[in-house]
Amino acid sequence: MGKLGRIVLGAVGITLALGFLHAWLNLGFDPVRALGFGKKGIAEETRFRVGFLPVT
Amino acid sequence: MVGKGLYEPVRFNGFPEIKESLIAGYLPATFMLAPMAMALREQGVPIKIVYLGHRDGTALMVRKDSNIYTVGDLRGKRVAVPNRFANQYLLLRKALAQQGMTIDNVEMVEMPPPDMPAALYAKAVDGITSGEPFMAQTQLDGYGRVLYQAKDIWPGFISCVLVVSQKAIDEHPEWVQELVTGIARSGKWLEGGMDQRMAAAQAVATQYYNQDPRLLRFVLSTPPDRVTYSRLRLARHDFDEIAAMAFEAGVLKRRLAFEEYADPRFSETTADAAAYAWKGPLRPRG
Repeated sequence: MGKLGRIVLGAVGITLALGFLHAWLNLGFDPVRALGFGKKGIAEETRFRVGFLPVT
Repeated sequence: MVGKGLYEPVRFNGFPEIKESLIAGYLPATFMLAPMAMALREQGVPIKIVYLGHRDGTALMVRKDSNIYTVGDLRGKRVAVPNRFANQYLLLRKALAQQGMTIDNVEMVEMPPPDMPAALYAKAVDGITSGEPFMAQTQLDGYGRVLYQAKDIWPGFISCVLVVSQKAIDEHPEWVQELVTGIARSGKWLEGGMDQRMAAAQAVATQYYNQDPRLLRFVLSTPPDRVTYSRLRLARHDFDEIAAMAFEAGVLKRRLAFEEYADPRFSETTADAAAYAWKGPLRPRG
């Protein structure tokens, strides 16, 4: 691979990494879970919200 | 204790927000005014009432220095209710009817319960009625006087009920059952004596309501039957009465059948539920 190829490959890699980082930090996207490496958020998915007003 | 486990209590400041969260699907379950739940069901929202939150626990307060001493003295006065879908509105109509009056004999205004004490203090209204502890707050602060307690007008008064989405009932009936059974066992524990009530007041005020524990201690003890946690199972005759009164008041457009808005399956199994065996004060969040 020539020097230009390595530069292009590195640029693509950095762009992808920054894209994932942006999606993870700002868009609620979890790349680890999306790639199938992470466990599902069991606690998050099984919470049963019960609304109440602070009156009897 | 708070925020752990299957159930997550979510605190709101008004019933309209609770209603919207229920419709949007954010809340699979909530405590809500009984007539409001019926009205939502009438409008086609897929929910069911599955249990009661408590009984009684409502009063109508006037200023201590006012000249209002009987319900008849409310004629021409301005009275605040949570909204027209509240059972407190039906209770006020019932109290007025017992004196040969109608709701047209008073000036009714709708107001969120947390705003009511300040409105009474500022003389913006002559009377306020909602669930506790906001009514008791005016007593503790020295300017409110009880005109009537709900139990004096409507014995076994029902205000808030536990409402669950049909989706939750269909997909996770075991969660709904666990929730209902838990409330039943908590209610029986609370009715076990004043020590339990004081411990609950401390825990609930600091961990859930963000209020002065002294206020809830007062509500749960003065008098001891100000709020009751027994007979929480769904009783058809109670709801038939509420539905009929709501229809007469124009809150409902037709007389709903009990089966349309209630699912008593979950409450039927709580008859033999034992009280929780908690001893001593509940520990605060640590």
